[in-house]
Amino acid sequence: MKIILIFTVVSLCYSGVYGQSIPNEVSSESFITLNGSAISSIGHFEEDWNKGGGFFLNYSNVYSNHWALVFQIGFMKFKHNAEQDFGEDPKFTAIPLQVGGRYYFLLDMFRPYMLAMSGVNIVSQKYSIEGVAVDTTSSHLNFQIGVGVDIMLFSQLGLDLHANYNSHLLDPTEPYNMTGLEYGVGIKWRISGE
Amino acid sequence: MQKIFTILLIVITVQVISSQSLYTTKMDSLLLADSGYVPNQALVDSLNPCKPLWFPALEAIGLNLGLGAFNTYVAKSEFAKISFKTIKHNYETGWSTDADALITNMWAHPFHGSMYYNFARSSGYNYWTSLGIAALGSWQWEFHMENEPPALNDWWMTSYGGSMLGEMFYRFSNLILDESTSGWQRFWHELGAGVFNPARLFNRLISGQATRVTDAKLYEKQPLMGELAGGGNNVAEGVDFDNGKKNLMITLDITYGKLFSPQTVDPFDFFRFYGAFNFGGEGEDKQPLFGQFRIYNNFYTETSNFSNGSRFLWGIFGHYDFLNNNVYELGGVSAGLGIGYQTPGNKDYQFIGMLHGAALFMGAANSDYAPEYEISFLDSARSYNMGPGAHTKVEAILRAPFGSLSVDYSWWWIHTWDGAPGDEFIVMIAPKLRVHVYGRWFVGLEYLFYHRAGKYDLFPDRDYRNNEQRLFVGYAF
Repeated sequence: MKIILIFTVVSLCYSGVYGQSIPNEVSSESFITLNGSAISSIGHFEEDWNKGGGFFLNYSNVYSNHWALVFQIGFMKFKHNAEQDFGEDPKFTAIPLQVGGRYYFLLDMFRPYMLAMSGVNIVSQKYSIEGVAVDTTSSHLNFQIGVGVDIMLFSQLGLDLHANYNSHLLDPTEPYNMTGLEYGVGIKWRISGE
Repeated sequence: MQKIFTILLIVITVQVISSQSLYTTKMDSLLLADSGYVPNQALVDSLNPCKPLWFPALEAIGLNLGLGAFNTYVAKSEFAKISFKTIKHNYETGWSTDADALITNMWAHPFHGSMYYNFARSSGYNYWTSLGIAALGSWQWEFHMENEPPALNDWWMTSYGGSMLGEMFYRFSNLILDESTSGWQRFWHELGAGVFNPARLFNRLISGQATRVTDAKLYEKQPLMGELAGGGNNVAEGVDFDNGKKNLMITLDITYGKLFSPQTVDPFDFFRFYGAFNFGGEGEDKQPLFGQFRIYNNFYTETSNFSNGSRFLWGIFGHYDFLNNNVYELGGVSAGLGIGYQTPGNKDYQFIGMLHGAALFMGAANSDYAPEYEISFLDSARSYNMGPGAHTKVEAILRAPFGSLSVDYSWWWIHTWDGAPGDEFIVMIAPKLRVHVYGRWFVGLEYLFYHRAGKYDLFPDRDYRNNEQRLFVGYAF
């Protein structure tokens, strides 16, 4: 959480200092990005599945000087907490299908942004607890907010660094949800625009 | 009641016979002769420059801090006792649901969201960006300003529902503002607009716009027509008219913009608002003040003209519904596709029809079994089931020289996400007859049939029907 806060403050300061360099003309650029992320679970979910990882493929379109529309698909896998007896080879995976937006503070070589994503997770669970086998696949809403920065190293190629907070639903009535912090890095290719 | 119906039928018959000599207006038509005014964007940018995005974001958070301080130090509310520990706990917990009353969750939260929304809208941002600020403000409230887990239903209703109420109030305030006036006349214009839109009034006061005098026309104004009607209603079980509960009721029906206009392409260039307010009654007969509060609007529309003057349209529409009386409770927000058709407006008779199919993002309907599902961490329960689903709406109007005949059909499906597991299917059909009597005055009759079928996984299914009859006198403006 502290890392996210520091990152946000640094991004805001950077954009405040260099905000004057935002070009007046409207941008229109499209990117394909491949991300890898490490997920650190928090809350009740951490007690059962304490770590995770995933990779994501997204298409983004920067349609103005600040805003981008993002479509994303991925795969997440979680590791069970060693203190829990979930039987042999327990599995908890999710396929997220997400749509959302990014707000870029500036579009330069460094492009700090905030993001909000939502969509559906197709969640598969396979484990046993106290001898009772659980083998289910179900769909749940996902929610994610975060901050990040794109670094355009070359005209067509860049890096995407981000830190997100996940509040993906599992059983909100309990409440028992896939809450966690996600840190990732990705490579992004510009496929159209300048 | 039968005598009243007989009298009304006689009145209608007389009106039909002598209809050609009666005053007719286009108030029953969605096609208006008046054209709207859309200001030049360069002029708006020069006199009302867009504020940085952090400005409305900070205002939304400031509103939350102020309201939080009131809840903590004045109202001394338990839920407002927050600390870094409660904030951390909320992030760890993630989304949940709450057990507030229907009017709180489905009406008060959208109203609160309209404030966030209008901080951004009156700072120069469009509908979509302002919706984002409403979502941000609600997120900040839910995760930081209460010691209860953040409620997803609140976030939906505050952000999306808030944007719907907010844009409607923004458009109303546009119609009232007049910066060419000064003195007391100006004061009343600003106050009138501020009643609908307090967030905008705040921004106008701190920016100096509230006192600036200019002949420049900076605010979009689309034609508006409305009908204010008063009368009595009788809410009865099943399809019987007898032994019903009688109340006084005032309704307000407003149509903003031209639905079948080729220029109706931006969100809320067209919307309809219907409000019903109950008065009187004693004890169990007393109905809630807010009987109905319904909005539907365009997000985007495309219109085609035919050679005979008729028009067809398709578009994306939003729907906000809040219905509440002693028999049923219903609320929801949805969005989806809609198609419409209207015959030429230059004939004595005109037909206008709309058909909508929408995804219900968050809906709520009362259920006998909902109270059995206590929310453990709140130690309380709701009177209604809650969840997503679907919504359809059919609207048909036949405009005639004597008045109009209209039918409104609405259907909701709510899949219980929180409450008694199962599904709620709700149908509401409301035929309405209005007859012009003099000038802008008319009399009318409305029949409203409500049917809710609850299909439950763990309980016996339930089937409720009730009906409501209304007689009213109205004035069109």
